[in-house]
Amino acid sequence: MAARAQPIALWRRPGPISPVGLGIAIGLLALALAAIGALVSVAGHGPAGGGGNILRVAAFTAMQASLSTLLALALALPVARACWRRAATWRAGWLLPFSFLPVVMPTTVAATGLIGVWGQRGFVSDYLALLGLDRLPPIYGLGAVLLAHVFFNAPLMLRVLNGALTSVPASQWRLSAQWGLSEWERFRQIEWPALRPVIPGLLALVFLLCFTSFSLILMLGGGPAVTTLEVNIYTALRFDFDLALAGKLALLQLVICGAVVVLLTRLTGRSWAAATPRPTHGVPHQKGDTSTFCRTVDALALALFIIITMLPVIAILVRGLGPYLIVVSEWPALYRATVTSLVIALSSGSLATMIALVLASARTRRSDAGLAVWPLDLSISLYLAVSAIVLGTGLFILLRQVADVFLLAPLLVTVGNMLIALPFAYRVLEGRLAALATAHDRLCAGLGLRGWRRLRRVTLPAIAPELGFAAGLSSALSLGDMTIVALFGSQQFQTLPWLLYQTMARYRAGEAAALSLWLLTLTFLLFMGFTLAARMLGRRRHA
Amino acid sequence: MLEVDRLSFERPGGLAFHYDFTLAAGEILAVQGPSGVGKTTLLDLIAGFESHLTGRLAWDGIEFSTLPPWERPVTTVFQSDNLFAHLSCRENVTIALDGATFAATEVDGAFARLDIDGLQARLPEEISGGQQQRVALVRALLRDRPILLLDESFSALDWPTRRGCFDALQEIATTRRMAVIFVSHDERDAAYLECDVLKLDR
Amino acid sequence: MHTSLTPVMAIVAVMVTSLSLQAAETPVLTIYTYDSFASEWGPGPAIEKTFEAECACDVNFVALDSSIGILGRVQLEGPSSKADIVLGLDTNLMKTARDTGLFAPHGVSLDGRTSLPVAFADDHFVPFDWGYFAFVYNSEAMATPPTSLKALVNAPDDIRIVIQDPRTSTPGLGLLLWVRSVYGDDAGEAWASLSPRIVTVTKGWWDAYSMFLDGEADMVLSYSTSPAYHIVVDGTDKYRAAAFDEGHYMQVEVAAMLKNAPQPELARQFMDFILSSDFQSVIPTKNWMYPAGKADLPEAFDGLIQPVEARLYSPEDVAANKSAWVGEWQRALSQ
Repeated sequence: MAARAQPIALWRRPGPISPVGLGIAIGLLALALAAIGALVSVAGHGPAGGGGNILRVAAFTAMQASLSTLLALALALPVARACWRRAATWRAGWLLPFSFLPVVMPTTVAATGLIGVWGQRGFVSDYLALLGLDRLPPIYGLGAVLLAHVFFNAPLMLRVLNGALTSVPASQWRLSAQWGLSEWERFRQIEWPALRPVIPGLLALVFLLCFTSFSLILMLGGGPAVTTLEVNIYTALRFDFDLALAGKLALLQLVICGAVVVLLTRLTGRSWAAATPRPTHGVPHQKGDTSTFCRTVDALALALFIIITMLPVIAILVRGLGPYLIVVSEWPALYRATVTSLVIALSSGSLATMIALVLASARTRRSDAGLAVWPLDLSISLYLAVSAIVLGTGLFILLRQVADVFLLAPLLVTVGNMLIALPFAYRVLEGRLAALATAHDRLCAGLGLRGWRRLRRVTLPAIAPELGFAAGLSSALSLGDMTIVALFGSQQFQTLPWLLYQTMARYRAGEAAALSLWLLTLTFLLFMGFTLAARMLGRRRHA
Repeated sequence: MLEVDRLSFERPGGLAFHYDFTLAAGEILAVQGPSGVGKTTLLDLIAGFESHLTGRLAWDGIEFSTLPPWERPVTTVFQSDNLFAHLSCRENVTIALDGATFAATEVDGAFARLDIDGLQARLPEEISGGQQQRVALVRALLRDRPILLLDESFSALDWPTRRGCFDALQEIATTRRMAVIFVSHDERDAAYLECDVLKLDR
Repeated sequence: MHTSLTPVMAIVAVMVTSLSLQAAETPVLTIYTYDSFASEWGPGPAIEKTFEAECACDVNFVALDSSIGILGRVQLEGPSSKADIVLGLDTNLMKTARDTGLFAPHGVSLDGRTSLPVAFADDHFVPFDWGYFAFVYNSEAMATPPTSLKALVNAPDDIRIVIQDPRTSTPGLGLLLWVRSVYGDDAGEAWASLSPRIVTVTKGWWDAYSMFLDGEADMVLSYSTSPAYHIVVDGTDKYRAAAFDEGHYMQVEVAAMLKNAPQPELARQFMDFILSSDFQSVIPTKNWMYPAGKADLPEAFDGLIQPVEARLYSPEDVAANKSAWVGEWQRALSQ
C-alpha cells in the first residue's frame, strides 16, 4: 500500500481477532512441523533410506500436478460459462449441487467408480463392444491419473468459477447486451475481470491436492514409473518404517508446495471470491447466446463434464444396488460404524468451520487495515501440503508419552480430519467475508454494530450459505477419510471407511460395493443437510 | 452547535482539503461543489471514517475528533447500500437502536411520517431505491443523534418525492434539534430548503 | 450451523470410560493382528471364544491395517506398548522384528507339532498358518494357463496380469522374492519381459483381486487357497490356481509375544495355544490358509494345487537384500 499521509483510520484497526487468528494459524502450522520433527527424531529400525532419485520423483510429481491442474481448469472454465449462461434455458444449474461429490469421496470408492466407467469391462468398453468396436485398452498409467485428478477437481473449480461469474453485477450485462458485445469482447471485458482474482488461488489449491495425492497414484498409476513424493513418504513410513526419511521427504514436499503457493498468490491480492453461486436474475440475453456455435460449445462442455465427473458416480450406484445392500444392512457393525462416523464428521466439520470463521475474519480485518495477510494464507495453504499420514504418525509419537493412544483415537481422528478440512473451509468463508466487508463495514461502524452483535445479527445470516457449504464440505471430507483412521482405527473404534477397508480385505466384493454406496449416500445426505440448515439460518425473517 | 475548526486532510496523492465552519442545532447546511472537491470527504471526516491531520471537531463544546465512528454523535445516510439485504425494513431500523426500546407504534409512526407505511415487513430488494433511502432516514430519525449527514441520499428520487423527503427532513431538524449536512449537486435542493450553502472549491 | 461439541464429546468419553472400566475386572490379553484376522468373517471371533473359555480372561484383538502395520505400530509404541502378542507377521519381517529387541522367547516346543513344507525352528516366533503364492485364473475364460513362471514371463502379450506392489503388500513382496529365487541375478530382465503383460500394480491384495474378479485381468497374484474360498462360499470351482513347474514361493505367518507384555503368563499360554487343534481347525475356512499345526483340511482343499517345491528365503537374506531387490524391480518396471 502506498504511504499514507496520516495513520490508518482508528476504526479500521482489527482488534483482538487479528492476533487470535494469526496465533491459531501459525500455531497449527507449528503443530504440523512438530509432527514432522517428531518423525525425524525417532530412530527407526528400518533400512537406511533407499530414497533413490528423489529429485526425479519430485519433478515428476510437480509435472503431473501441473498437468492435472491445467486440464481441470480447461474443462471447468467452459463448463462454468455454460452453466451460467444456460442456467435458465437448459436448467444447467442443477449440476452444481452434485458437483462437490467427487471432492469428498474416498479415493478407493472413486477409483472403483472410474474403473467401472473406463475399465476394460466398464460402461464405455461395453458400449464400444456393442457397436462392434474393440474394447478399451487398460487405462492405467499417467493418463488414468490425470483423468482421476480432473474427476476430483474440475467440479470444485466449476463451483468457484461459477460463483465468480454470478457475482458480476447485472448492470454490466445490461450494458453488454445493449452494446451488442461479441462473445470474445464479453469474455475479455466482463467475465475475465471477474474470474481473474479467483483463478490463482484456485490453481494453488488444486495443484496442492494433485501434488499430495497418493492413493490414486497407487491405484491407477499402473506401476512404479508413475509415483509421487507422497507415495514415497507413505512407503517409507508404513512399510520401511524409515521415519527419518519420511520426515525429510515431508519437509521437501512442504517447501515445494509453499513455493508454488507463494508464487501463485503473488499474482493477485485476493483469493476466492464468493464461492457459493448465487441465483442470477434479471440478466438479459446476450448477442450470440443463441447462435449455433455457442450452443454447440456449451453442449459439448456440459456433456464432457457429465461424462467425466458424473458417470463414475453412477457406476458406483449401479454396482452397489442389489441384494448385498440388504446383507449389509443387517450388520450391527454397520450402524455402530455409521454413528461413530457421523459423530466424528459432525465434530470435525463444526470445529473446522468455527476455526475457519475466526481465521477468515482475522484475514478480512487485517486486509482492511492494510496489515499483512500472507502469514495466514500461507500457513493454511500449507496444511494441504502436509501429508495426512505424517501428521497422524507425528501426533501419535508426540502424544503417546502423555496418554493412552487408544483412548485418544476418536480425538486424534477428529483433530486430524479437522486440520485436513480447514484449508477448504477457510477459503470458502474468506472470499465471502471479504466481499461483505466492503458492503457492511461503514454501515456497521456508523451504526455502532460491533463485535459479537455484528457477528450474530449481521455477518452470520449474511454468510449462511457459505457456512453451510464449508461445514458440509468439512464433514463430508471427514466422513470419507481413510488415511487418518487407518492409523488409529481398531475393532473398538470403527468408522465407515474402516469397515469398508475391512470388508475389502476378505474377498467380499458385493458387500464392499454396497458399503461404498451407503457411504456415498450418507455423504450426500450430510452435505444436503448442512446446506438446508444454512438456508434456514439465513432465512430472511419477516417482522 | 457543530464546530468544524480548521480541519485539514490529505490524500496519498498529495491532494489537500481544508474545512472551517460552524452549524447550529436545528439548521440545515447544503454542501455543493464540482466533483472531486471533497464533499464526501468532509462527511467522512465528521463521521470518523477518515482521520484528519489537524484541526478539531466539536459538538456543543465537547470535542469528538478522536472518537471512533460508533461513539460520535453522528448518523450517516449514504448514497446507497444503507440497508442489510437479509433483514426486513423494520429490522434494519431496530438493529441500529442499540438497546433503546421503541414501541411498535413509534416505529410505525416514523414509517408513516416518511410516507412508507406498510413496507415494514418487506426486504430491501423488494422496494425501490427511493423507498430504501427513506427507510434509512427513519432509522436516522429514531437514532436521534445530534448530527445527521446525508451524502447525495435523495439524488436518485424524482422531484415530487424529493420534496416530500425534504419536508420530512426539515421537520426532523427542527423538532429534534439536529444539525443536518447534506451533499447534493442539484442547486434546487438548497433553494427549496432555503438553507445555508457551503460552496467548496479547489 | 454449529453443533455443540460438549454433549458429543461427553458421550464419547462416557462410552470409552465404561468400556475400560468393564475390562478392568478380568485380565485382558491384548493381541495386535491384521484387520481381516480380527474381523467378523475371520478366525478371530472363534479363537477368542475358545481361548477365553480356557483362560478365564478377556481376549482383545486390536486390528491394524496390515501385517507390516502391526510391526510399525509396535515399534512406534516402543517398550511401553500395551500389546501382549503380535499375530500376523510373516517370515520376511522376522529379522527386522527380532532386531527391534521388543520380543521375548516364547518357550513353546515346536517339535512334532508343525506341519510345514519347510523346516521351521525359531525361539521367538511361532508359525500359525502358511500358504503358497500362486496366479489365480478363471478356467472358463482361460483353458490353458502358463505352466511355469518362465512360461508366464515369455507368454504372448494378450495375457493380462495384475500384481501388487512389493513395497506395500505381502503377496507383492512374495512375487518379487519368487522371481528372484527362480531367476537369480537375471530377475531384472525377467521383470522387464513381464512388464508389458502387467495391467497395473496395486497397493493391496484386494485391489488386485477385485480387478481380476471384474474381468480387468486374466490372472492375479494371490494364494493357492483362493479357489477354496470360491468353492465353499460361492459354490463354484471355475477359479483355479496355475501350478508352476519351478515351485511356488510360500508365506509363513507367525506370532510372537512382547518382552514387556502386561500379561506374560497369559501370553505364554496363548503362544502354546496357537498350535493346538482348537486354534488350527479354524484357520482353513476362516483365514483361507493352510494350518501350521496339525488339523484336518476341509474337502474344498482337496483339489488345490500341490507345488513341486516350496521356495522361501531365510529372514536374514530378505532383510539384507530387500532394498536392493525392490530397487531392481522399480527400475525394471520404470522403463
